[in-house]
Amino acid sequence: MSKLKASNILFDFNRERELTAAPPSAEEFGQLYSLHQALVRSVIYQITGLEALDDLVQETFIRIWKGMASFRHEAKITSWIYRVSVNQALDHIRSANRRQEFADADAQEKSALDAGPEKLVTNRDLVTKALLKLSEDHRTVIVLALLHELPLAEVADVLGVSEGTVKSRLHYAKADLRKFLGEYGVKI
Amino acid sequence: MNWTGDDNLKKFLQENQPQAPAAPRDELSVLMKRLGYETPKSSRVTRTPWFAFGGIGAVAASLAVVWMTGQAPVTESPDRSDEWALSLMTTEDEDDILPTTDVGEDYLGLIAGR
Repeated sequence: MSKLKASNILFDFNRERELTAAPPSAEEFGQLYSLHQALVRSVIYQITGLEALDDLVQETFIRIWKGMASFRHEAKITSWIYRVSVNQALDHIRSANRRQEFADADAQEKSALDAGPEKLVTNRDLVTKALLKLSEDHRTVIVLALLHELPLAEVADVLGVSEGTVKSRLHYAKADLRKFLGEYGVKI
Repeated sequence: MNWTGDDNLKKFLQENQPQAPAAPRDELSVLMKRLGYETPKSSRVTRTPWFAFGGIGAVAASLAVVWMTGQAPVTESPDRSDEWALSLMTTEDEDDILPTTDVGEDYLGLIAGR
């Protein structure tokens, strides 16, 4: 679907939501899902990894559906969907139950990395592991600003922090990434 | 590999970014169900003829079976009940048939002059 066509659908969708403030119809929700499921899936995967990905995507769309009535129509719908997705991903990481699992995963990650660069087959593996080494905040900024190429102001809006905070997190995250990648022979 | 500058880091990350696996095929329908949307069903109008045809077919098949049973030729079979009876006899049963040497207490009483 072309961007123009997609934006028309969103325009109609938003206007109708504004007029009715009722839950979206099945058709509207289907359109919303078709347009944004790849974005939601990608962001959540890049922040949390594969674990619970399908569940988190579903929960995100349920949050989106529930939030339709309170959606501020002056905001870009994609920014709002980014925000809901990022919050869902970070909630998952930060939840008390998950903390231990992530600690275990981190320990496994460390042992895999300690085994040496030969264990990392592709650059994609390397980037995946490099992102996992970052803190959630730094990883989220890298995902939004560098992988999804959102403007810093939009990243700040999505995360609910100042643009200065985004710049600072981005600076330290890049430094960490360079250091990590350098250990594996990638000099950037 | 040698990269320099922010653009190169961005480029390297983008080219090698983690790719999420494809969504399950039924993800949307599962979501729809969870949100209380009705999933499309075949209407009663379209289902009715199939039920009618099925019912008529079942009745016709039953009638055909009854008719074929009635038409089947009845042949007289020889009475083989004796064979059955003999085949069921055991060796213990044979003792009742064969002549016995057991003369019984009455005969012994006669010999003894009672």
